[in-house]
Amino acid sequence: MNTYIAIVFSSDDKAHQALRKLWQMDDEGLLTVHGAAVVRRDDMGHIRVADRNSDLGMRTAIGVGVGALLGLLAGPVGVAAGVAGAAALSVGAATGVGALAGAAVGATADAVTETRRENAAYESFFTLKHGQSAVVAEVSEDWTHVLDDAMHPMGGTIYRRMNNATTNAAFGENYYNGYLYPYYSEPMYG
Amino acid sequence: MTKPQTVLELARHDAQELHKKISGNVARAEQATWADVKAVQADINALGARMKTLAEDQADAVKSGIKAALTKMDAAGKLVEDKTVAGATAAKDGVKHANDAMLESVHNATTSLSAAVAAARSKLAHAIEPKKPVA
Repeated sequence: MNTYIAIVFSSDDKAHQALRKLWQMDDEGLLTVHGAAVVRRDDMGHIRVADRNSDLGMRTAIGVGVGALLGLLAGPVGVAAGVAGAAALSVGAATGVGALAGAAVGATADAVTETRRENAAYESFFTLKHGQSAVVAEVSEDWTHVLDDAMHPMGGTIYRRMNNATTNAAFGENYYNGYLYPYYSEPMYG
Repeated sequence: MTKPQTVLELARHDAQELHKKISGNVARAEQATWADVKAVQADINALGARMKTLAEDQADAVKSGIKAALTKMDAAGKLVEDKTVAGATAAKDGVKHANDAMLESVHNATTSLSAAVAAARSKLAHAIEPKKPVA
């Protein structure tokens, strides 16, 4: 089962530990990680993508891809705003992720939170509150409980979306593939 | 971090390491040279040769992903320095273009090998999965 996941944590440290754990599980053959990154929403509401500080070649690309992925994980309300945010992320990436992108994706999260009170169907959609961090990734897993059992004790909440033609259509030309690190890399914020 | 265990996992690991190496060259764009490009091209061609062999044993969906990556790797592995261009900026642009093409091709190689590894692991997992007794 090929899945997009977001694992939300209350702190950066936890998210970084979770990223390490995710790749360790890959190492042990418990699941396969195709690509992963860490994002955080700061106290101002801006979404920031952690990357390797020296890796200028990847930074712009990560902005576009992860923005689209966040949009997907944010659910139907978030797809449009998330993809719009992705465009802004790519622009802002040269100097750090821009406020506009943070606002767009942040607003998405707020909208979903608001909607959740009215529609239980939104319960599973990804939200990232101020000060929270998340591991976003594409993984192949045969049993979901393996990842659940590893992340819940660390305080992570897991959100999943199937990787299929329908979900990938939401990415449009900004399909994220190629923009998440396909190996473990110590996350940093540029 | 990856500890290779099977031939597929080993190839994936090598692709990941190559990806890191090219990312490093892209990051130090000012200092990157055609000598760096040629060194990486040799690694790309070697990885490509192994992937061609590995592709034959894969299911169609995985095989097509590997073959698409191979096409890009083949093109990136053949890029050569244009010695007719004048000026340091033009030369740097050539190196940048080559590094970008190589990064993309090796990224495709990494993800296609990752898909192959996932398929193999899934097959194994279901083979050893406890079977429910027939009622």
